[in-house]
Amino acid sequence: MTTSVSSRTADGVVTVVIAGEMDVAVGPKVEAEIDAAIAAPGVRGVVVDLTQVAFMDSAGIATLIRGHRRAGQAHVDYRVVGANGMVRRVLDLTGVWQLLSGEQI
Amino acid sequence: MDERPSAAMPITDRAHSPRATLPPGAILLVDQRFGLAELRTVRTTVVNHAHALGLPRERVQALELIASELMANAIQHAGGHGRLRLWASDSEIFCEVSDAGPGISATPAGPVLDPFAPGGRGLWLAGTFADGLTVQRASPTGATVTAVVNRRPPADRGGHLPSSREASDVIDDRAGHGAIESDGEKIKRHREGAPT
Repeated sequence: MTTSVSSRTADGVVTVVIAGEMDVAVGPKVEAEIDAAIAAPGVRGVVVDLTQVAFMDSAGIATLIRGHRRAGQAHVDYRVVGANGMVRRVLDLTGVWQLLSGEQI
Repeated sequence: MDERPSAAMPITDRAHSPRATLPPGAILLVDQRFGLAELRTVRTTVVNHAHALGLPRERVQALELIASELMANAIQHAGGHGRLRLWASDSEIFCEVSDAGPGISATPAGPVLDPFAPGGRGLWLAGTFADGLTVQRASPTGATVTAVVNRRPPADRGGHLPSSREASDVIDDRAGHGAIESDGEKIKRHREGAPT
């Protein structure tokens, strides 16, 4: 399985769509896309969409946390959405889902 | 990540790299060296073997995550390379990753993870999804991490395993290295005695 990353912008919000697997092999590629979204001219918020992510390990979590930190430094809203199945379970267990999604448990 | 992630679990001090021989009756399924370029193919190989053994989907996913974490740990913190071995007994599947890195810190991460921390979750996650995990430090010559996943739910095990001899050999060996448990609520203690 390969991992693809793409972005779309609407109304000042950049949505980064990740599809495939988030692991240490794809970290730099996803980080670059998230960094570019945060640095986009006029950006108000960044949404990372995990709907199509089938696998995530701690390296993927580290990538998402890094984006959260970078966005905070740039005063850009940052939210992760769409985690399901095992991906959601891993994010819940590590306590980062609430932090990244803004959802209350 | 500046530091090698530590595990929220006791760590044995026994130098060991990697196990020279498998327990009697165990079947070696995978023995492969890996680097970043092989991470995904080795992970897929592990998943395929787990499917072929009839492991339930949830346990296949657990094993996939465990294999990924153990390999990523070696890739990121132990010189970029390691060796993965996967073997099975009648009742369990073992995933062992050995590396030639600096060894693993014995400082426990604690039962509660800091959600803001940039890293340090890998071995914790592996231990959470495994039915047992042993970490053998062998610094300066490397470390070996072995995770075990039960092939069947507890209700289906015990009693009359087709080959309790092999199973008990495996368990006795691991008990000698110290059974691993994580925090109090999610204890992953493995059976320490032979099946009765």
